Amino acid sequence: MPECTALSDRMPAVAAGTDAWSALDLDHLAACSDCRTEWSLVQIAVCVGQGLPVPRDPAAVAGRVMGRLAAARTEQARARRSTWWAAGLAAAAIAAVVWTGRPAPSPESSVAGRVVESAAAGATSAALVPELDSLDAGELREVLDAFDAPLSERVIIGSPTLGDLSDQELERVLRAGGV
Amino acid sequence: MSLSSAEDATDAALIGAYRAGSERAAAELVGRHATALGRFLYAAGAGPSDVDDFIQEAFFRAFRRLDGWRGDASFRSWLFTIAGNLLKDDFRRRKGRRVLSIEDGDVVAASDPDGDLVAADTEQRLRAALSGLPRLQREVFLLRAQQGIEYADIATALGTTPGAARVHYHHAVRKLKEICNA
Repeated sequence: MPECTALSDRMPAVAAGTDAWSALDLDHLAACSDCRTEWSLVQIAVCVGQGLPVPRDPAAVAGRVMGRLAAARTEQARARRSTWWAAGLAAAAIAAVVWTGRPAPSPESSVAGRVVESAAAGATSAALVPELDSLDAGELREVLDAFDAPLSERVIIGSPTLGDLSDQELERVLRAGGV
Repeated sequence: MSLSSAEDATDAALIGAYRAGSERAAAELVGRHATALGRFLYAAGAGPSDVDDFIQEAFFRAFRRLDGWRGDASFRSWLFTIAGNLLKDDFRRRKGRRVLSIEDGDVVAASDPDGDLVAADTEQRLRAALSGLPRLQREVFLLRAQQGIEYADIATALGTTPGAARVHYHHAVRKLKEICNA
């Protein structure tokens, strides 16, 4: 019935006190049990939770929400930085592979790297790893050639010593490690 | 944003201010909607001791997802939809509902000396009855009957049409009436 629909549409506003029933509306409510029951439901729904002190302290809720948002932003920024670092390292590794045609040896796993570690361990300064980035193309080629040399030409059993290095390698280690 | 201008600003303006870095605007939004949100959550079945946590979580998610709010639905109906999702997930985790019936003539007259007790009992039974409704019917009923939000706004927030929202409301009312008359 159009009258029922019209009344139904106004029920929330009347229950909230922003509208009021006219005499005609009240007559309809008295005569229509469906509308009367719906009106009861709306009135109860409007009252539900009114006596409940929720939230106990809106300002405190706001403070906690802001705190969580700030923490989330910090975490997000840290994650983004980590991603950029990982992406940068991956890009550097790819660039090294493309440039040299093979994966760049990690300083720690290479003979030269282990030599530097050994040398630095005995020195007063902290252990330093040769910076491949600081080498020019010729120097880098020499390092790579040294790594490519047959196993028989290199001493890799146990911890290598400075005596195992060529003059050029020794000079490079001294420069890099400050020995 | 100054104190007085925050109080006078629309939700959309406050959201714009928050996006520009105003925490005062966000606090104003929380203060403006937290109580109504609490009542909505409580009516929809949240335990009284859980309501504060749900409110906090709903606002947290809303502020984090503000890019998803395009202003076609009101901030309030959008926020309540987020809260409804939280409640749905909580119901799913707990998988337990208690359904009681509402008796006819439960609306309490102001002059009733036992009014408070009866009203509290009626509230509980309406909450229980609502928890037995399908989610859309429950939310549409509460958004419309309790919060007075228009069907068009409810429909936008819930991703449906105003006509469908109206149908959900009337199904909810019909089922609640059945429980009343049971």
